[in-house]
Amino acid sequence: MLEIKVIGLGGIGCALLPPLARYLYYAGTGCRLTLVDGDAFEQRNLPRQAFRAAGNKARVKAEEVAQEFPGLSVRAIAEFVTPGNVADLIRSADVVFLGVDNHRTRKVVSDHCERLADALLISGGNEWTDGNVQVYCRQGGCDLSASLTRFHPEIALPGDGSPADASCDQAVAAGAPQLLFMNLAVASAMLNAFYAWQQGGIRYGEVYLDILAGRSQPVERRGSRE
Amino acid sequence: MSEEIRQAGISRSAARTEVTVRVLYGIHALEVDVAGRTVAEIRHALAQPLNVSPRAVPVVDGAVVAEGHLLQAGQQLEFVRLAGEKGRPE
Repeated sequence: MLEIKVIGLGGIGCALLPPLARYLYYAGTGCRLTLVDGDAFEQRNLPRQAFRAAGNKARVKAEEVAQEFPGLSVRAIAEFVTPGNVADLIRSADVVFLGVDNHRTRKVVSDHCERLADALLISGGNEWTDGNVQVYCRQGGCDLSASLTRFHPEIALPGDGSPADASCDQAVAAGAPQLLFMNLAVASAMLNAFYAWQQGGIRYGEVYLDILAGRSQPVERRGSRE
Repeated sequence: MSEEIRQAGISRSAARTEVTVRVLYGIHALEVDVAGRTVAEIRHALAQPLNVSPRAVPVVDGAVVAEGHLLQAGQQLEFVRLAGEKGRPE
């Protein structure tokens, strides 16, 4: 059974989840969907995030998915990812969609995936009108593409904090304005990468997007085979 | 942007040839005649036209290189654009 983890249910995660759940449901392949987020939906999220109730993001979205797609296995974990729980949250052969806005969590997840025999990690992030998606694929203990940290020192040596230990100032900074359409573009690119992987091969390790220029640029990221 | 790049002393080619270097930064991809020049020179020349971050790591044909690396015809130089971080400027 394919285990799919969606970590982060903010702007990108909320855009990614409905088509992903629909696709998995109608594909009919056995899978379990796990939603992970320690944050809660609030009224201020409404301009970019659709939700039917206030409360923990993972629980609210898991309930919505379960109602819309009965029979699809979905569960919620109401926690932020930390070095202390990442091994419980992500296991070998998992597919991980990572839609977080901080490099510290990206590093925790990427470093953990490096220790697994098999993993597919698809991480998306954005600025106002541009963004990127990184695809880290491991198979049989070998890197088929580069980890999130290999060419990104800002992730390897993160200067930001984890949402799990965010101060008030950081929480305010985390509320920096974003564009709904950019979240949607990144979510779409993440799903495209997943589909390419499912079809037997993905030829890029990172893709850049700019919605004002109307362009995307895939880039190969060779892995360091062990 | 083409005029800015020309003013920076770099000539572009319409297509990839045996003598050009492919330069990438984010969505930008250029074929330029810069063989024999260093990564640092290209970073300096393209900093303004492409808004290349001074923190962007230089990668030639898949390997991280030093700023003094001499570019050869046929190579691909990428300045790896920083990962998106929720609307915050680089």
